Amino acid sequence: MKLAYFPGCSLHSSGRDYDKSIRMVLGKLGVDLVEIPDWNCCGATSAHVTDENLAVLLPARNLAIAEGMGLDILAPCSACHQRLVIAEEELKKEKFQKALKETTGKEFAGKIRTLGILEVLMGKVGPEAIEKEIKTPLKGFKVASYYGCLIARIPRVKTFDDRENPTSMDRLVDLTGAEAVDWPFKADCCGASFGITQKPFFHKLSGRLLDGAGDFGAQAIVTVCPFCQLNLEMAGYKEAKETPSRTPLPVMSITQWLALAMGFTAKQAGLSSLLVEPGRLRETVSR
Amino acid sequence: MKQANPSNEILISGGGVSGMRAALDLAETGYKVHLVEGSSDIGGLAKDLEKSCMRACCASASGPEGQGEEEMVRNDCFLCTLDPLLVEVKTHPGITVYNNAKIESIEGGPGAFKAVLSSGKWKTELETGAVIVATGLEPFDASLKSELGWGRYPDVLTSVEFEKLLIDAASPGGKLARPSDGKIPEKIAFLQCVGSRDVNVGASYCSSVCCQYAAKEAMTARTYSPETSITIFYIDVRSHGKDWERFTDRAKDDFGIVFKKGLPSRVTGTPGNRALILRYEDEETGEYREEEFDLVVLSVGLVPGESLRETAKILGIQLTDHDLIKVNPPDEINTDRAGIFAAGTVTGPCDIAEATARGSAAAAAVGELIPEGRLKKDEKKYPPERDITGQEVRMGIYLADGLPTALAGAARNIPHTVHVEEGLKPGEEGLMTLRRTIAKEKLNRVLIAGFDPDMYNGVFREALRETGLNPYLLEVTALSETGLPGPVPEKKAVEMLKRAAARTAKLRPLYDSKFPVNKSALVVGAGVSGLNAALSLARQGFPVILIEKESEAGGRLRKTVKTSSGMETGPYLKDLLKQVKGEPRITLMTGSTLKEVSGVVGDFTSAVMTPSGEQEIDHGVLVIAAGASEYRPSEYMFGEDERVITQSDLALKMAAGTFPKDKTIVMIQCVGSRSDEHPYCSRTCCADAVRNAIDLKAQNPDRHVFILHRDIRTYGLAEDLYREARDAGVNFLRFDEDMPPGVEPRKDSLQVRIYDTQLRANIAITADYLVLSCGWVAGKSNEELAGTLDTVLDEDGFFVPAQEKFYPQDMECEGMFMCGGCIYPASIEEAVTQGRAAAGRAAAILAKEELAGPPMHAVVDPDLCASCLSCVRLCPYEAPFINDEGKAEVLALVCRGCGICVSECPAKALSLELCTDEQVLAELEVVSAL
Amino acid sequence: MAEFSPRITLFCCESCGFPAAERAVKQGYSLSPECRLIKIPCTGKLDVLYILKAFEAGSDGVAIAGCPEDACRYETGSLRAKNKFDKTRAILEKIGIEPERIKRWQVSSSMGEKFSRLLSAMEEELANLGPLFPDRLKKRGDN
Repeated sequence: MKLAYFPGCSLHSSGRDYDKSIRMVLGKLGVDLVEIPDWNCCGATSAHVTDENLAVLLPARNLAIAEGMGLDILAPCSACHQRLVIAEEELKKEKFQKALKETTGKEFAGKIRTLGILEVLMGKVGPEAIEKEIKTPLKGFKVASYYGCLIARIPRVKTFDDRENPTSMDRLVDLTGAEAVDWPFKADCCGASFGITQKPFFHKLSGRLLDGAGDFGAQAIVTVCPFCQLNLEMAGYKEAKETPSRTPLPVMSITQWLALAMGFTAKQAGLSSLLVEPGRLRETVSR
Repeated sequence: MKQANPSNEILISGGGVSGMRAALDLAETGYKVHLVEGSSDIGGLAKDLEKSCMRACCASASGPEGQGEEEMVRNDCFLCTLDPLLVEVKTHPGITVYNNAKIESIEGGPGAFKAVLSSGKWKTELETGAVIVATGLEPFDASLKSELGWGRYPDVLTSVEFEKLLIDAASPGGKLARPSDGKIPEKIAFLQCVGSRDVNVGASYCSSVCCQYAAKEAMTARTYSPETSITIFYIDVRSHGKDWERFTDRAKDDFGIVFKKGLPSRVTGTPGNRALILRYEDEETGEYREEEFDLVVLSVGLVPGESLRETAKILGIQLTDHDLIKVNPPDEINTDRAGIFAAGTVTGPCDIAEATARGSAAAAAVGELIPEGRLKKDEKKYPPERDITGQEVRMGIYLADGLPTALAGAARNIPHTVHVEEGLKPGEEGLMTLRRTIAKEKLNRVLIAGFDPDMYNGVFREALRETGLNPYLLEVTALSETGLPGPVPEKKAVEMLKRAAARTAKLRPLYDSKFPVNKSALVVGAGVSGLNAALSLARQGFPVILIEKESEAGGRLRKTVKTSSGMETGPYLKDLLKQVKGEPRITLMTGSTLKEVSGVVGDFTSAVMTPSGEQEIDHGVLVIAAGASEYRPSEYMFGEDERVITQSDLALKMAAGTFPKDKTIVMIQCVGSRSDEHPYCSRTCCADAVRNAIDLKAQNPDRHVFILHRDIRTYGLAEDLYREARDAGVNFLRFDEDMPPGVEPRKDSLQVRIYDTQLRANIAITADYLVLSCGWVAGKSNEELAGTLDTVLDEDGFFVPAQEKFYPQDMECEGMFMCGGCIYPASIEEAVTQGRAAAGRAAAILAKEELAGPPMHAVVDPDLCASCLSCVRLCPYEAPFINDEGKAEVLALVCRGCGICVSECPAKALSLELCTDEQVLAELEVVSAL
Repeated sequence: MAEFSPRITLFCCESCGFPAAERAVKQGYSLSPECRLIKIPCTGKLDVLYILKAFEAGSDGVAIAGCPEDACRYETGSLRAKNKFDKTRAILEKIGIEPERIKRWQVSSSMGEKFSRLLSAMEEELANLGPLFPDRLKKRGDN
């Protein structure tokens, strides 16, 4: 299977480890990723609150390029994913098709679509194929899946998973041998970019998530969105510094967790760059 | 395009309350009904309820044991209502029920359809004259609103599942228990409108019944578990039905159920299912609260299911945008395919009473389509009846297959027994054995043991008739004390057999008294309901005299402009009157009132005062359609300031083009309703107000329109109008009963002040016009009519149906029916349906050649009667009278068979057939010997 | 004294008393074989004679199960039954039978639980009062 890859701004920078683990894991599962040549920023939050056209055209250009490659897109970042999916929907309207042609000279006929990492893993590759590749079942770990709000709730479009109670990542965690913890805040907002601009507010949101995961017995949190991972990790780290009695929860991308279960080393999975390390994990996996 | 020789067989799809009602009405009217039910048993959604309401029989429990009010609620009331209906449908000779079946295909036209029915095991073809679709709606699938946690947290239940919890709590030793840990929940929360009033999932309409059923479930739960506190989170409390407002008030005041405005948007779980967290806004302070509950009940709405879509496809009928069956308002019954009618909730959600009314209306529609179908009857011929006078008792005892063998031996020893048959099977085989042996052994008493009497009395009596034996020389016994089917210990079975035999030996031949039916109707009131009732009856082939007290027919239609859904009533009324005037069977008498009614069902005589003097009219049935009156307010300076008008004034002015386009309008809801004087909801005002508001905005989108309300009760499909009004920019402000708006007149404006409970602020509006949404009050003629008919009105002056849920159009007196606003405020669509429903009910009587009085009635032995008048005075129904010979005689048709007169007669001149003193004493003799 | 199962005759009206008994049994209450239900259309039909004959038939107690007074299906029947009940009680007292042996219950058709409760209470009370005709009790055992 071949997929066009849209890293977006995060996956080559702060989400480097996520990117690496995605390539490792998908490589093992027989999925070739071809990075979209000359891809541009999807616009994320800034574009869609500024200008309607920009909000659609920025992601639309990437869609057009991918369509030219004849491949569906994997966009691991939830925000990128949502912007691309919304653009696919909006491009059904003539005005945006026209604007795309005029601005970029490109066209998009809707022949390809954008997928998130969970849809690729649990939808396209499938649980059976993944199960075959599990070499080091991570037994004894209680892991909370954190979906974040963007991957779950996309307006007016049918989502891969349930909007309020998604479970695909939980099932993936089950496959790795760990125990998936069901907790109520799995699709609640982490604060997103407010992590930079409105720190107290963000701490309230993310703090609630971390407390919630802990209350339900989680020992680690796995994420799909690089921003979620960043926010939760920072919030947890900061919280731990301020309240030494509280043990911070390690937060990593789902593919890093999956990589460990598939037999990759801790180093390969990028555990060392986590702010909060799941200490016990090191005993289970190889260095 | 009707066939020349229409079939008299009718196909009904769906055995819920509506389908069953239609089936019974049609079967009674003389059609052959095929009732197709998809599940394993008829009864629909109603049979899964713990109780249907909390009234009447359950409402009085001040027994000598001293139980209080709370006691009354603790029981399921269906025994007197739904259960007998189920038995009636299953045993009616004119109805065939097919369970686990569906309609596979249908072709043809009205009068002659060809339908293919199938179940898993068989397939059959039917010819049918008409089809009624009554397949109902389904409870909303709560998993579609996953934020509410259904399917995720064990203690989040749908209201349907909660009913089961209540049923368990009602069983002896049962208690209300949380699914997760079995503990009694201390705090329960109800979330309303789940899957209703929702543009994303479920239906955008209001499901109409959830506010009521939630209150009912909550009150029931509190009775089983007084230590549990219950909160109902709502958007609007919709108590728009008859006595519903008092019901929800009782829930608040007597049962301590807390109603909080504002729906929490999600249900949050806690570790170990300890509790469920709801986050909501405190109405009074505006603060957010997080509260823990032990159990959350989701009040799911009623939505169309896949089966409805499939059925519509197979029948070739259209659906609306809501996926409901399309009809043409104000008609709620005719689909867009001739000969196919809709009944029940398939056209829109409603409660049991309305569903029942729609069922009767659909039956009427069938009767109108193919009245000649009804006349095709295969009259069954029976052999002449054997005279058994003076004969010694020769009893045959028949034992069902599977009874203990000792019974046969005991049976042989019972006095008068000349024949004992073992292993009797139900069905044709057993009936043949029965007929054969009765004839051969010249039996003159028959006792059949081991069968449910409710289900088999009819079948076995028929077998007796077929052998020339009087059908009342039979007893069927289940051999249990309660008559419930099931295994009985041998000793008790033998005892029961002996007791039943003792009674049977004392049975005497009885004859159904026959009474002629005057096949005409008198309809009182020519408003929208009465006009439709009259038309329906006439089209079914019955002459109708329609009287109207005003000088013109039309009632409220004369003063209305549109229905709330936007249909213009002027052309509708014109067309309706044209139809009535063009219908030769209808005699319309205006300026006429009902003065007196006497007689019995099938044979009434009424005195009507017409402009040219009093007239005597003989008729078989009576339909009251006296309507309601608009409340004339004294509040808010109405009558003093010409800028204060009613909604109907507004509608008329807008239609006449005399209402200025640029004025600011403030509407006030509930004027004259939900008040101390009129503690009920007038049902139609919110939808009418919203309609006018939409039209005002359409006239001029920039004008300001405010609707000041306590709850917006745009129930059912009218909810879409509420949304439309909001989208159009109408402002809705909510006030509390204790703080009504204040109005001050100025020279150039009306200053309206209101404390809005949601904004928690005082709002001042400078208005040009104040439009009052005035409610309905009972019509002035109600009291006089009630006196004439010797019937009671409820505390609000409206008529009272025989049973509020299952007989909404029937009056207590047989042969008398009612429809429309005289019962309770109704929309025009509802009044039309009720009119037709009353016609459907009445037709079941008028269609009969003669009415059979039941043999279970009191009989006087004139030789013993001393004419003491005790019976005449004591009978609650005035059945006994002193005849020309000076002796007491009982009117069989009026007698209800209670036996009060029998026990009071000092001379024992009265006896009650089928429960004579001899029979009771013979039974006690058997017990005595044990 | 050995355990004695009181013989109770219950006159139940068709509208309320009898369905209440039905409901009690449906809900799991087990009727003792010495409980006998006689169905009558309305308790208003009850004759004082019926009750006395029931005692003659060996009943240790007689119960009248009818509609609640203000909700009688035949309007006045339940009240008329009260008259008969009072009359019968007076007769019982006069002839030396404990008036507690006759009961009048008002149960609506759905009150299965109430019915079973009242019946249990009556059985217990009668067990304490003892059999009405002790010598007939022995004969009963042979049957």
